[in-house]
Parts: sequence; structure tokens; C-alpha cells
Amino acid sequence: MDKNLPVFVKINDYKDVLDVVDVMKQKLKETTQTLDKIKQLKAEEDKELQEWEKNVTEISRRLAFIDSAFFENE
Amino acid sequence: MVVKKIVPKVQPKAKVVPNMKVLTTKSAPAKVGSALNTIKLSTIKPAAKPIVKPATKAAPKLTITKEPLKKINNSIQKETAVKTDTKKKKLVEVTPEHETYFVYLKNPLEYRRHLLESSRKILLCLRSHQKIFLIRQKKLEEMSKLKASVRELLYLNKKFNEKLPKYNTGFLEDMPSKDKSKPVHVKSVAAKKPADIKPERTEMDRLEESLANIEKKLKTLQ
Repeated sequence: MDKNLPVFVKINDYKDVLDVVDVMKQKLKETTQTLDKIKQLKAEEDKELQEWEKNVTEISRRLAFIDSAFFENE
Repeated sequence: MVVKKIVPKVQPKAKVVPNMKVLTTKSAPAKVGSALNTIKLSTIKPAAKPIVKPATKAAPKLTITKEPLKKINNSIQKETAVKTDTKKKKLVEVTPEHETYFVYLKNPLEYRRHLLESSRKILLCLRSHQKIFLIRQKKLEEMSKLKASVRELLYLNKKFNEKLPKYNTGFLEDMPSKDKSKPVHVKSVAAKKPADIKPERTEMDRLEESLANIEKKLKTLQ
């Protein structure tokens, strides 16, 4: 038998299928929006983490300076 | 410059001023003809020593005004000098138990600035930590939403598949016989049995299984 045979769907089921497809479209839209939001939040988090790293580097640098100064005095 | 004059608080001397009450004992009678004669004998209380009390608060003022101001200032200066000397002595005289050593720093302002900057950065770090915490909370909320919507999508997909006519591609590929049209049903029963046997199946296992099924179907379509 040929695989490319036409598929026939009952008219009642067809309406249901259309409804389901509509709902799926809506859900997909929502999902895409949520994903975008998550991406945005991730970007914010990355930015904050970068800021954090920068600050920690700065603190370590300053501390090293102070430490070296005190060590010189010793 | 504003120079403040120091008004000394001179303690009132134990002087007998005309408007002062003198309380004496019976053994010390009041002098005859003095202003003290005005005091009644009944008001005199017995005491071992004569007690002198100032009658009014204005009495010390009188004593100050009588003395020249220069003299008073000098005496105050002397008193204060003595006090400071004693303080200095106290500072210098340190017991060996409380000995402290100090290290000289060349640029204290710079160090202080560095320390302050470090503190500021630490606070900024804490702030960013708080921000990250909030962001993660939001992210978790969004992910739970996403999970729910994906589940709904799965359910809808299932519904969608139910509405479509069922056909087994494997059956089409294999020999066309009426007896082999049932394996789909048998497979579903076989798939359900392990689930009953293993109640501790995780969500991951189920997903893996469904994924494998779909991949299998895709392969058959190709």
C-alpha cells in the first residue's frame, strides 16, 4: 500500500481538531513569551554576576594593596 | 575669634556675712551687741561645731565681685594647669600589662580610602547578590509557568493525535495481514504493565520513554 494515501477525518472530529490547534497556538504563544522572559532574566542575572565578579576583583586588588603596604612596614 | 571669659565657680568661703544665720551651741553664746542678737535663742540648735550656712545664693557673688578679676583668672589658670598636668601624668604612667605598640603608616588617608572603597564594593556585592536572588526567584516562577504550559501542550498534542485516524506504519511496511493489525493495542497493554510493576518511575523515565517512542515513529515515517 502507498504511504502517501489521503487521510480522511470525520467532520465533528475535524472541528475539535481545529479547536485543539487554536488552543495549541495560544499555548505556544504563551510559551514563547515565557521563554523570552526567562531569557531576559538570564541576561539580567549574567549582568549582575559580571558586576559581582568585577566588584570582587576590585576588592581583592585593594586588599592586596593594603596587605602589601602593611607587609612592607613589617 | 570669640574668646569666652571663664566665669569661675568659686566655692563660698565659710565667712560670716551680716545676712547669714549662725547656728551655735549653748556653750558658745552669741556676742552681745552684734547683728546676731536678732536671732532668738529658741531657734538655736545644739551642735558640736559651729555650722555656717549661706543665707542666700547671692552670697558668693558678693565675694567674687570684691576680689579683682585678674587674680581670679590667674588662680583658675593655675588650677587648670595642675589638672592637665595630672592628666598627662596619667597618660604617661602606663603599667607594663597595658603596653601597646603602634606602627607608623605613611599614607593613612590612602589606606582609609582603599578600605572605604572596599567596604563600598562589598556592599555592592551584597546588593547584587540580593538582586540575583530575586531574579532567580522570578526565573523559577517563569520556569514553572513554562513547565505547566509545556504539559498543556503535550496534553493537547495527545488530543490532537487522538482525533486523527490511527494507522500503524509498521504494519504497512510488513506483510499485509488482518491478524497483525492488533499489535498496536497489544503494545499499549505491554507498555502499561511495566508502569504497574515499577511504581517508582520518575518523570525523567517517562519522558525518555515517550521520546523513544516518537523517535521510533519518526524513523518508521522516513
